[in-house]
Amino acid sequence: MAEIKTRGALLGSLAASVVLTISFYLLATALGRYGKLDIYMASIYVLVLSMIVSASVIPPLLKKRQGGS
Amino acid sequence: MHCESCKKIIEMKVGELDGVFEISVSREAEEATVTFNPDLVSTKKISDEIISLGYQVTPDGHAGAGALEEALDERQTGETNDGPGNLRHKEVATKSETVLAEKAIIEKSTLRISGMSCASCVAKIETALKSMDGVASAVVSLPLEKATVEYSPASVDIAAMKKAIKDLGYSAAEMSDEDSGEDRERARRRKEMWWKVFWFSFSLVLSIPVMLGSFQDFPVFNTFVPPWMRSNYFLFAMTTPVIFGPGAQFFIGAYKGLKHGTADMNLLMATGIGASYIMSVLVTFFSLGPGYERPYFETAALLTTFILLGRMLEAITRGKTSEAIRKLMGLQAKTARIVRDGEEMEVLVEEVQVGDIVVVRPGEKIPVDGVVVDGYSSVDESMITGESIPVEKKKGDEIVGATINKNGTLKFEATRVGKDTALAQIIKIVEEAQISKAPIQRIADKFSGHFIVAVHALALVAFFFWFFIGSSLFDVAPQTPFLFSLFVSIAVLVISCPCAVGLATPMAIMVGTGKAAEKGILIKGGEALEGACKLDVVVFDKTGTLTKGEPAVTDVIAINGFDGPELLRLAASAEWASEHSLGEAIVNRAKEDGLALSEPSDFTAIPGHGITASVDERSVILGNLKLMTDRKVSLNGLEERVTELSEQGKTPMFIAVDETAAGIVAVADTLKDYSADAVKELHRLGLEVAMITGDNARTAKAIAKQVGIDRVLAEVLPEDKANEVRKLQEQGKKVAMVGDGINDAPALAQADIGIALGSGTDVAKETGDIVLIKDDLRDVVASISVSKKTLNKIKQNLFWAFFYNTAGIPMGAGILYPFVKFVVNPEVAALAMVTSSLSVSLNTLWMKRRTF
Repeated sequence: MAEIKTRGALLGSLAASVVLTISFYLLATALGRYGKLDIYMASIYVLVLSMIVSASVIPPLLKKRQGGS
Repeated sequence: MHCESCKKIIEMKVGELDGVFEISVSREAEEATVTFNPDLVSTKKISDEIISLGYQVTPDGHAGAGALEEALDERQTGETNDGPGNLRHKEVATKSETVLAEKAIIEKSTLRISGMSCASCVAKIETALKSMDGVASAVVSLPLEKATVEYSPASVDIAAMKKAIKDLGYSAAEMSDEDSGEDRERARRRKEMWWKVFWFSFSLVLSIPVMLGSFQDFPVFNTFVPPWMRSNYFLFAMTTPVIFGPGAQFFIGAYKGLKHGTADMNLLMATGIGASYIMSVLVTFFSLGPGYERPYFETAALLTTFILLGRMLEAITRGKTSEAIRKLMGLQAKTARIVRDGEEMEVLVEEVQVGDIVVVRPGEKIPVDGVVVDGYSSVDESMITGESIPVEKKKGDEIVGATINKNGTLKFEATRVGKDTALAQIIKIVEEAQISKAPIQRIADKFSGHFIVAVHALALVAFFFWFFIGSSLFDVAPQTPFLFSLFVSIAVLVISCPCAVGLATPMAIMVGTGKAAEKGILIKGGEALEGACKLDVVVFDKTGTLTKGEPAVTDVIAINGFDGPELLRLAASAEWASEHSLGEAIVNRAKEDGLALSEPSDFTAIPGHGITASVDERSVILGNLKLMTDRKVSLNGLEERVTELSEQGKTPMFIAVDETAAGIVAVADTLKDYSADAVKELHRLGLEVAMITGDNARTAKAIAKQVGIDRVLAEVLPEDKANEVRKLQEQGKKVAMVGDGINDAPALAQADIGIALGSGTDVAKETGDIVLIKDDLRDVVASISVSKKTLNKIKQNLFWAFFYNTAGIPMGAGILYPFVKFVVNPEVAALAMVTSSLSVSLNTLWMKRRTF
């Protein structure tokens, strides 16, 4: 059960990071003033940093929402 | 029971027993109230179940276990007779409050932890340990690299704790008594330092050419740096060993942390170093186009080198702060000369047993604690008590291990050896104090608990800002928006490292408690240290604390042609056979003055009044006014002098010789040498000083006047002292109680800070947050003073640590760039981080030079 919860939290974190990275990519592309390489590199960096943040923030938030169980 | 899980375990396991309807455990009251059907389950079974879980069960109050059983049976049987049924039982059992008071078996262990680098590591390990079932408390010290855990062995074991710590990416080992030995500790530190110096040197040697090659375009560098050093491949070849050698520790640490969903300083550094290295490798081996011509190997290499420099310097300063403990450990003698079977032999100090006769020659160290059985010498006890004047030792006197025998040979019987010696107890107290946390540290703990994640979020925000907004508003050429934003983001990550925050409090506590221990002041933890700074009132017990506790002759007034010495001689001779403490005081004074006493005859003690005796065929009457009146002695105006002396808190006695008034001898409990000085100093610190005593108000006030005490709590019975302290606390005052650590224990425990005075050698038995080894009241002032200075140091350290982060983060985030085109490079950010922890460490070490 605990493993499922952990996996769920991880998937949640990953999903949040991917959503943020895609949003970043789309915005950067839409603005049209960046080179392709800049956008790709920046997207990877954003994905890494947002994963670190979301993996630390989302699991406790989920736990709180489930009443700490 | 020390934690919520203990309560839950008992409730769950007892609740599962057949016949138990309800169990409610109160952790605060250490009580379990059980509602059960006695036909199905007995109190013994319930008790056994609780005991099997690792707790002790005792009946409430002072009754024995049998009494509890009986009481329960009676109540339940009675109820069953009234009307059977489980519900009835439940009601009655609840009403009668069947109570099982239980005390948990809690063990305390210390684990040595390696691999911690910052306050986040501390928070992470503490959280992991505290979340384990059965762990009551866990305190981790970054500078000491130790964790002290209180736990219930029935629920959790050391192996599980070690695994939990290991899972977080650190290594943990249980510390045994032998581990605390000086040699082992020193060897471990030396090995650790060797690796830190080696990795730093390795990194530095390779980073210098990288730096020279990268900065070859700069005016000075281009004069002597050969062009081949500018080659990307050369820079790659030099940087790669740095990243995969000493730099690997950051990546391994970050990986282990991430694997368990935690972030620490390693992650900050790994992100910074990794990003700049990967970027540089891509630039070296692939043509990435305009803006990506230049690699940033120097960032990766210098970042690693500076962080390693920081860790190395931190280890050096950390070693200096724990010097006090090492000094104490170094005091222990290695060998002892004992007499066994009539022969003197030299053995290791560990082999000395209680009861062994130990011989110590002049200049030698006393190996263990004991009692002198033969010989006379003076002993230098300064290393234990802080008192520089040697103390004379003769047969029957106690001597303390680790002190130095000065000039005579002493033979003594060992009374305490191994971990029971005074030195071992002192080391234990100081170690425990150093690992403890001051309440002020909660700020740092709260801060660092979520700091790393906050920093990553901040780095992401800075990256977004410079990528989308900053780079278009302000010219960031020649770098591309991505590279500029990336390095700003890395600088934020590096400059924000909370390593200084993690060191601020524990280092100051280590130095403060260590300095105090050198003076014979044992402060039992961070809480005591901080509490001693917030005091309003210091209450002194009178007898034995402010005063010597032994009556002594203070005045001899002779009239009618008698002189003082003759009067004292007659009085002392008359009291020769007396067993009264006042009489003993007179005899002692006469002996001290070298007076030749005569044996009295016809000695009669008149209880409550005095004595009569014949000395050298003269009749001597010594006593109070009533005795003199009864014997019709004309006092010739001596009554006024007696009233005067009484008002000074003394006990005056008239002396009549051959039915004629001859004078007065006054006896009083005299003040200790430095009582008045201590009170004066406490007043100077702005504290109210009170005295508590069982004496009558007049005597108490007289003593208080002599020392300059403001408030007198007189005629207080010993058992009411704690109540008097409580009354002061109810007035909103923070109270320190100074007294004997054993007799005044309840009052010391009641006070906000209990200071046990002059305990001598058995410090472990003392109640009190602060224990003063030597009998000098000025140490009360010194202990408050050292606490205040330590707390000030903690505040300064926290200020500097937070200041660096608060000022550094905006600079790292490029706040100055729009105005002066200046942005902090990641390597400069690393230097700033090193400066931050170094300034905190040096500021703390500065305290070692201060006197208290």
